[in-house]
Amino acid sequence: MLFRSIFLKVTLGHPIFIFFCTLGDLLIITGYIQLDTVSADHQITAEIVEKIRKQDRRTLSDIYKEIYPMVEKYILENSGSRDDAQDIFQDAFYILIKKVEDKSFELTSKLSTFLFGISKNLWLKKLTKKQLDKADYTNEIESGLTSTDEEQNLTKNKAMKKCIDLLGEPCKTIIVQFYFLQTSMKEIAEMLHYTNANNAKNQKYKCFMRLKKMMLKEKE
Amino acid sequence: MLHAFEKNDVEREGMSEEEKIALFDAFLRNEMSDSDKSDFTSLLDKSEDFKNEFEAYQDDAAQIKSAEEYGQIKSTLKSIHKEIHTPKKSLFVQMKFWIPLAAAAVVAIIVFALPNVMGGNADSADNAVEEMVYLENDDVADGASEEASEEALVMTEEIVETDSSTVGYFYESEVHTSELNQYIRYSDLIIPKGTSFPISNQGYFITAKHLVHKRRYVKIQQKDLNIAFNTEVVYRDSVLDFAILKCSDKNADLISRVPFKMVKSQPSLGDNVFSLGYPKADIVYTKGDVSSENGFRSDSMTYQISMPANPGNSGAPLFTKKGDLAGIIIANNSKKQSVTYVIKPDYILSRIENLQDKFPISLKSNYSVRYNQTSTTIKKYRPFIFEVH
Repeated sequence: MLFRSIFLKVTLGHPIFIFFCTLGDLLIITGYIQLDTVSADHQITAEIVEKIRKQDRRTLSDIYKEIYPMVEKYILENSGSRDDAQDIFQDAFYILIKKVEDKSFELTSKLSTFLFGISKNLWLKKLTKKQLDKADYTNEIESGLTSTDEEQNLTKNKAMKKCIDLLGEPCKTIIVQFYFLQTSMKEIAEMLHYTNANNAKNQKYKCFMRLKKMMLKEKE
Repeated sequence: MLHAFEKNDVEREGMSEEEKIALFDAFLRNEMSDSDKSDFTSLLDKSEDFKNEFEAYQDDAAQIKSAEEYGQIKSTLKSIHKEIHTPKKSLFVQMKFWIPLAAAAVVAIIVFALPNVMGGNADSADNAVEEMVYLENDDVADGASEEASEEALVMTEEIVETDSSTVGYFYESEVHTSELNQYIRYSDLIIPKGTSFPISNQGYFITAKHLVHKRRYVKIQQKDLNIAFNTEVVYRDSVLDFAILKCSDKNADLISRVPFKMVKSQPSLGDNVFSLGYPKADIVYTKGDVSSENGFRSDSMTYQISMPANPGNSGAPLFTKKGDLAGIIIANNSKKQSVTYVIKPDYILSRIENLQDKFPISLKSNYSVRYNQTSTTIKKYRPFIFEVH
């Protein structure tokens, strides 16, 4: 039995694994899988919070699958498109992930309520800003879900990410490697075939200044 | 690097922004020596401006980092979104309903298939299915014209039997009969079997062997010139998939000197190549590049190019970018996309040399003109590309 369970772990995820197990094992596997899936509608547990913090793909995917449809429905009903829904929901998800990173964070409501609330707030704010609608939605916005800091951060990040993507190569690689992955200048120089670290440093400076200029323009 | 510290404040003002940022980076990354570090911190305390600049830079760096993190999370979520919206039912999700079925399957598999699964190698099983497919068109014409084209084919075959030397004709000459006329007209609707091209101006043509399988006479035609020949298959190679066709001396006069020369050795990996062939009733240009030095299962007599090829491209000449003849297209891979096999030019050359006693094919009269534009080259070459029927 021990041997078999080890074997199952190895072959799990491959269709051939069915070949090697009996009916009893199948039942165990299905049970195991049921244990593993996240139902976002349940009260958020410490385990799930931990998984979100680690950005466990399976957990994120399960939550996404469960909550996205209602956000999409809401946004489509409120003069939005599918693309808007996707964008808003992903931003809301990002806020959740950032919130969870803070260890003292505790969620009292259901995960779905929380994510839906953030999405709704973001969307209403976007509507007001774009003035697609003359109506003022400020009253509808639920307070207490997100702080202004977090929202400002999100807009800044959005703008900065856009600029980074617009930088083009090799600037994008240099900036991402240096500031995000904390790669040393020497390694970057090797990566991009610069003759020495100083050349790379010089190039990085130019890229950085370009990015700053772009950001200033973006703000205007 | 830190020489700036030793100088007074006035000179520090002159420190360029680039140098400052280099300093900040060194400090933030802990790449400074201890003495430099203390110099740096004291400088921060001393000068308010310097401190502000440092903090602004720190903010910027943090901002870039968090923006990129945002980008990463967003792209993960986007890929999740994609997964969800291209429904791919996972084995696990459906599992519950499959338990009885799976149980039955397990029993069946244990009894019948397990020995095979254990013994067999999945890769080799795949390879066994993979095949080399000759690029040959079946003798089928487009839908409604099928009957007519069959008729036409029969007629020309009759002519073959009477006298092979009179079958070649010039479309515009007044000699030909109405039946011959029909042949040309109908053949617009017939998809050619393959492609052939003259190797010298003495009436020798080259094509793929599988196109002329068990046939003594092969009809070839060129619509641009309005000529059609009946050629005799004079040579079939036992190993290479190529055959030599010969038309009568009278008809050979119609062919002018061949404007392409054969290269001595195969083009190297990555070289651009193009081909002209007849996968349909009109001439078709395809291009690609050399992707492997050997052919199907490392066959050393052919090489591999990444170029889409279709039935009808068999026997088509392959040209390098400069316009030199670099081989004959014979087959593609049944399993893989855009994998086409070409006979190496050196093998063809050596065959032709060995056959000099039987067939005095002289490649000397072939000339080559270099055109800058591929389209000009094609204009020059296309009268030399013949349909094989």
